[in-house]
Amino acid sequence: MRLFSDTYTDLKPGTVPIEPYYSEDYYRREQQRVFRGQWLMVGRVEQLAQPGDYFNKDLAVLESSVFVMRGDDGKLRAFHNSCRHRGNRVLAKSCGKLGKAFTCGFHGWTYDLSGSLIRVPDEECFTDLHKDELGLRGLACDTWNGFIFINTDPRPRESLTAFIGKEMDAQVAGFPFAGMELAATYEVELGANWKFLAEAYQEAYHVIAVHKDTVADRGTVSRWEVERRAALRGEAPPALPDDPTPGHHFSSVRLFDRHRSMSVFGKPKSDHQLPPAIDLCARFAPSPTRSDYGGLNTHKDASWGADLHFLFPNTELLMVTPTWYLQLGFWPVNAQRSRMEVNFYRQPPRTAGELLAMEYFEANFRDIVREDVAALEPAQAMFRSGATSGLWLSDQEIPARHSFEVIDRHVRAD
Amino acid sequence: MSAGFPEQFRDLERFAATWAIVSRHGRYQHRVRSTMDEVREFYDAITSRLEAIMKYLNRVGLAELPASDRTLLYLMLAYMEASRAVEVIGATEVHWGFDSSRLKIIDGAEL
Amino acid sequence: MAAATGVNYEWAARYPEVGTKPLPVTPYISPEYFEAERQRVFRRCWLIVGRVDEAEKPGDFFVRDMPPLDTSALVVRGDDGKLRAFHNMCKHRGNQVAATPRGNACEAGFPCLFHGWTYDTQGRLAYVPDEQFFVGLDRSRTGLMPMACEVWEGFVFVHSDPAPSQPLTDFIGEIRTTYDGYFSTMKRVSGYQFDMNINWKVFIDVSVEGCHAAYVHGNNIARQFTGTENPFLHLPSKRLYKLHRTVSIPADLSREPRPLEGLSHKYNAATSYTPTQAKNTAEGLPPGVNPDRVPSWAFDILSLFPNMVMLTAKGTYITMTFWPLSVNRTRVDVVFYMDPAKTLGERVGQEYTIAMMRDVIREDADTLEPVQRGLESGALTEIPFSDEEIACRHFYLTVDRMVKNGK
Repeated sequence: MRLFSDTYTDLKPGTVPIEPYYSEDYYRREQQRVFRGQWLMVGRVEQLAQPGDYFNKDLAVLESSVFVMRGDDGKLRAFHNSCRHRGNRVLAKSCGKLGKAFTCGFHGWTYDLSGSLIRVPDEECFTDLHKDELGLRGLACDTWNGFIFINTDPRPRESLTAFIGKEMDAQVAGFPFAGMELAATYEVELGANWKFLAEAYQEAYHVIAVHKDTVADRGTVSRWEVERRAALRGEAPPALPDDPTPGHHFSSVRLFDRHRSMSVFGKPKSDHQLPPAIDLCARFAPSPTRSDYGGLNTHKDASWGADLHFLFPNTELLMVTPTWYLQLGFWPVNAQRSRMEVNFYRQPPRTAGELLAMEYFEANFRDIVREDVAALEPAQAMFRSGATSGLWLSDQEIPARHSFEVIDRHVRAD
Repeated sequence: MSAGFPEQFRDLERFAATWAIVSRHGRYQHRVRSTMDEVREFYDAITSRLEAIMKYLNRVGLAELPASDRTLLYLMLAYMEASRAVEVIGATEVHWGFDSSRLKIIDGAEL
Repeated sequence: MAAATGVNYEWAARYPEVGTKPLPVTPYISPEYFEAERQRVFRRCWLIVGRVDEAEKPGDFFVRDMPPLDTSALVVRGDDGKLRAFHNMCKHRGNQVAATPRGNACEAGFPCLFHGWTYDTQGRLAYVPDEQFFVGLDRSRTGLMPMACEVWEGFVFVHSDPAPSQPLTDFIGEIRTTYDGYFSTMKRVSGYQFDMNINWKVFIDVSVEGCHAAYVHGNNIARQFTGTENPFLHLPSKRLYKLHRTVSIPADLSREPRPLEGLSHKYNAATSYTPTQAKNTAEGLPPGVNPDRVPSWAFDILSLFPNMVMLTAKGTYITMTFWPLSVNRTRVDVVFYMDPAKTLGERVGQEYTIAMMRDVIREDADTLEPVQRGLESGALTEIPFSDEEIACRHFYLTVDRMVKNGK
């Protein structure tokens, strides 16, 4: 049996330590080294189509609220949403459209669309005030495939292009991100460490247990049940034929320096009569639905189901067809709390049938998300019990191990 | 939902008041808060007319769909939601998951 | 029986090591002290998590959260008949393996709902799906993490140390034989749980003194105990052990019962916390209950160190477990036990008792959040416990001894 760890030999097998999943001290180092000074995905260019368009992002991990805005010159800029006078939040709404300038609601300091301070009421009462030095504090801001990234370091050590890297870029080359619209966003706050949350989206092992009533392969569910009962009786499990393309396995895994990409097995279309609503999706979903499309199944796996692309530190793209995709953000709130954001993007539906088919995919994912994270809070509640100092990961969960190791490397870097 | 209802599907209009919900959050919450019998009654009624409804709604592009068909369209969006309970899960709710009220759903594009 | 009436230091004279000095407020309000309690009291004591009849048959299990240990305990009777306790935590990704509060695991074991790892009723890791992908995993060394588990008088105790240096019998100490069978005939009839903004010790303090009754329970049941002879409800029996303590609550047997109370007593004389006839004496009770054989006796309070208080009466007892969540937040778990009713009249009479005692506990609780706020205000630096409150003082010093000396 060939293991992924035969390829990635520098990743040790066994357990990963549990302490980084609750330690306040470790979290403070993550804030400094994993989030500050790194490129973080915060949105899409379509959200800021016109000059004056902006959105706000409350980022507890940066202890800041950050906004991104399109200037008069068409350029995207990011700022800490804090007036240079007394620190008040300059833009109060979560998103909006500005004219030529905007004014802090506290004492009326006014900034233009490039963040420069242009008006201070009663300016003569300030001593040694230099307006030209008091523009809003900026962050670096750049885009990749229409995704907006920010970096707390206004002059980052590496460009966004270098950060993404050639390998990751190649994974999705040709995918039609640009033609998509945001259909819906889900948000949930969870009493679980952000790494633990992100890892649940970097392994497929949980599919048979967590999703046993929804997406799991029924054959494998019952096979595990048979094996479990035999094991509990102390008997050898019956010899059952191996499924060569199990839906809870990765068909391929690609671990890069910081990012990673993985594909899960798919099943050929079955001849069974589908239930009515699912059949409706099969008939009316927008085409193409096949995987041999630019930006999908770049690894050319024979039995391909979906791609997961994880961008360090906290973003994932989940891609199944060229007509829709999901973007997930795993944001820390504190050492033991996180906020998950899921954005569902789709090709704008042209007919009622296309709309309904995509509505089904989306409803499906709402249920899946709730199952995905069900175990995280009960587990987090046990992390400080002392019952174990490390958690096991299998070879199939190697992307989760890589995720931890990359973060740990940054936390420990001098 | 007083924007009208296509004449040939008048028998389904009785579901409009409860199921023709504009927001995804509303549709999802309605599904998980309904009883399985309520979901199944709605699901069965739509399923029995599915072919005719799809033929009717798909006769024009989405942009050309008249306002008087909107209620039926929202009903169908709720049908996709309800079908999860009937066709896949066998219950209005997933068997294991955090409380559905904690999932905040924010609509992006219209519909 | 010499009733405790006004003679200063009568009890301190009997228990000179407990003393009479005011005691600092710090243990009720200091986060550092609370952390020390978590480490040196709760991690070093045997803690009650339930009754054996909650896990009677092989495979029966129940789960109890133990907040000061940051854990959830899984108590399970193995298919070999032995009762064991474990941390309810899968060794794979840490999820809680018992997903329901109680049940029987003989058929299915404990299959973790996250990825399907399955433990048997003895806590052994029986099945790992796709085991071949776990490099270096030895199932025989990857069972559920055990806690020590022992039983005294039907109470299930667990200890965070799987091999504690102090055996349970030693921990129970002087009272280990004095309750002989008292609890065994009674069954759980009701229970409830609530969270309060108090330090966990505050509720235990109020449980082991009677001075508050005339004020806090004035409209409810104070008169049933105090009568005219004993207006401040001095407690005629106080026994202070190494770790635990009991006090006896006297009854005014001469008073006329209230109408419904009288009815309750008529049909249900056996189970009452407010007896009105002389028959509720020590007759038929083991030596630990009403240990000084107070003739006009209502019930006892047993403060079983560290965090349980029991109200033991004839034919009924109540357990109150105080689980600290933080220095000033506490989860209170109340369970009522009674001899099974033999007639409908008895059952109705029991219900009267349950409702009445629920009100009593509510009155105590309502007093305590303002008390905690007062203690935190800084207005008080020391608490002048009276001689009548010597059991509070004793409890305070027992905690303090463990925090400071570790035993």
